[in-house]
Amino acid sequence: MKQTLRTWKVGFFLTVRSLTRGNVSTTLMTIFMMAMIFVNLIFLTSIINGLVHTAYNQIIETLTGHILVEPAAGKGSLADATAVEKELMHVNGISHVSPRTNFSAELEYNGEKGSYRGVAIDTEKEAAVTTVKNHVVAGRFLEPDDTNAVILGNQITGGEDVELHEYSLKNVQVGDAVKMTFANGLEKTYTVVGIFDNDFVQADNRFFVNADEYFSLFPELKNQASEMAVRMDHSDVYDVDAVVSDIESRSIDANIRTWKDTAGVVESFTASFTIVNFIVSIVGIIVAGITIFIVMYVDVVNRRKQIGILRAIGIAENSIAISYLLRALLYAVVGIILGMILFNVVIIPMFIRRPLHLPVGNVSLIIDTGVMYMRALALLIVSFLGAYIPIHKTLRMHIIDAIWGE
Amino acid sequence: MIRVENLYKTFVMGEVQVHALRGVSFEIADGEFVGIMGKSGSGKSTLLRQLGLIDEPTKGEIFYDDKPTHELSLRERSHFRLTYLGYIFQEFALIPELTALENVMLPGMMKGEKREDYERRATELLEIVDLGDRIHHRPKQLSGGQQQRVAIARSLINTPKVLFADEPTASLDSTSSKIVMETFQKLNKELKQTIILVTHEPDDERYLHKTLWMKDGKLIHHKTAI
Repeated sequence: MKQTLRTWKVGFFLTVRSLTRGNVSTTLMTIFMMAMIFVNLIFLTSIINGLVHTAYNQIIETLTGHILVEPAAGKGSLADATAVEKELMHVNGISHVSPRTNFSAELEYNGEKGSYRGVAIDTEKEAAVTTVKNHVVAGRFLEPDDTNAVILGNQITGGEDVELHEYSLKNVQVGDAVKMTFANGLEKTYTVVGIFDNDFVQADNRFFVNADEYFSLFPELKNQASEMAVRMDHSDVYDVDAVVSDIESRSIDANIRTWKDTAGVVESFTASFTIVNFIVSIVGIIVAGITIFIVMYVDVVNRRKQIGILRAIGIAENSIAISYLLRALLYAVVGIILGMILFNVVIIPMFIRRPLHLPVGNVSLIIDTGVMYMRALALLIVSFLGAYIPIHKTLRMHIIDAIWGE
Repeated sequence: MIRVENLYKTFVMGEVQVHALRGVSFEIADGEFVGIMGKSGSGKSTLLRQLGLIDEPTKGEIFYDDKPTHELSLRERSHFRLTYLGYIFQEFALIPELTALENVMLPGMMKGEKREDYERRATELLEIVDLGDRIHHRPKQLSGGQQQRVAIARSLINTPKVLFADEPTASLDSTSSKIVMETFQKLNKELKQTIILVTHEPDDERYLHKTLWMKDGKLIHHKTAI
């Protein structure tokens, strides 16, 4: 026990002296390098997290709300929509419900034609459930008393920056007239009163008309709905699954799904990102380990003679090893702390101010604290190994080879 | 007393074998100041490294007070070097981040003594080698001769039975060399310190009790001062 304490005491003494009186610029460079390695370890992960978060958020905010109520299996629509909506509004945690009627129609403008998904909405209820109203980039959102008006997603109107421009009506503007042909062959001309752009292709390849207008053409469908998008009051307080269970316990003949259940393709992309993220993280940790190994190896090689002399004068090999390992761990700890500060104080706020503009939406960096600590732990472990291997190798050398050897 | 019996050391370099020591035997009594001399490549430094337990002989035995050293494990050899032997290198070999005092203290700290004891003794030793006013200087702030004297003080911190010095004046000018050799003489006379040093300076013979002459890995003759 006494000998162990002595070994640690000498190792600690050598570490402190080496840090306080060694080459300051080398120490600072090593710590900075560790900080950069740590930032690199969490950067891509946080972009992927941000991407997934944005995609999920877009689904909630522009497509489904928190919960989507759909017709039960084998049924084409929700019958007695008013009663269903009223029942839903009695569920704790639900703040707004938007009944929708989905339909398919062919739009024609200036010789360009395409078949698109239309949604007949109660404009005020839809505006309370989704944020589409806030993403009108030209003209205005539908008003309750609009009759021959339509608003189009920018994937339908087209434009230079639009992903599906080739399949669009090519540069429709607010005020233009588009001819709508319904599935039953009925034709009607509508005026484009607004164009919306949610930065989310799945939400922007739709068009909206007023429900009253739609039901005036198809009165037999009145008081029916294809789906109801539900917004929760405080999604951070109420659990979505609990609210779904509450709905299911009521006498509503419907299929209830959470936004995540409807994510479909986005969910599979997310799963792919998770795998990519895992692989990139492993590669990042391996690269970090190799980098730290090289730095420590160069350091140990440069001090090989000194290590040999310490051994020759009787300093315990464990003391010498401890001095190097403690130094490496200290570099790692300070580097990680610096990296965390840099990431949280500089990089994240920078991305919040100027998010990445990706097809799925504006992406900021998001990192889970647990993940950050796990990466820090991984970096500590590889730092330890990166330092242990070269010092262990040098301490296994014959003393005369360490001092005078090749 | 040190007894060396039939010591061999062979270095293997690829397919070539270099016989650095070829059956060396001799004895050194406690308190002697012994020089190992010979031309470059004669095996004198190799012999010193075997005696200082820094290297292991290919064959033969080294006894300290009739106790064989070849049975010692790596850890025991390290402890033996720390406790019973002092070693001075040609190139000063100080730790650059430590002050003169800390360099001298380090083996004492490793031995596990009380801080005030080894710090006091380190200070005394630095005074003995005339560096009492340089104890807080770092190696780069000292001349070559001063650094070598710090190394001498360091080698004495644990009161070794034997002090080894491998060409301690080779990197020094004549004035510094003289001071270092006189320091050894003073230690030998006043502390009865056994000292074995390798030197190629014929002038150093005047400080020595005994000289071992080496040639081609063999001891060719002893010369004892009158």
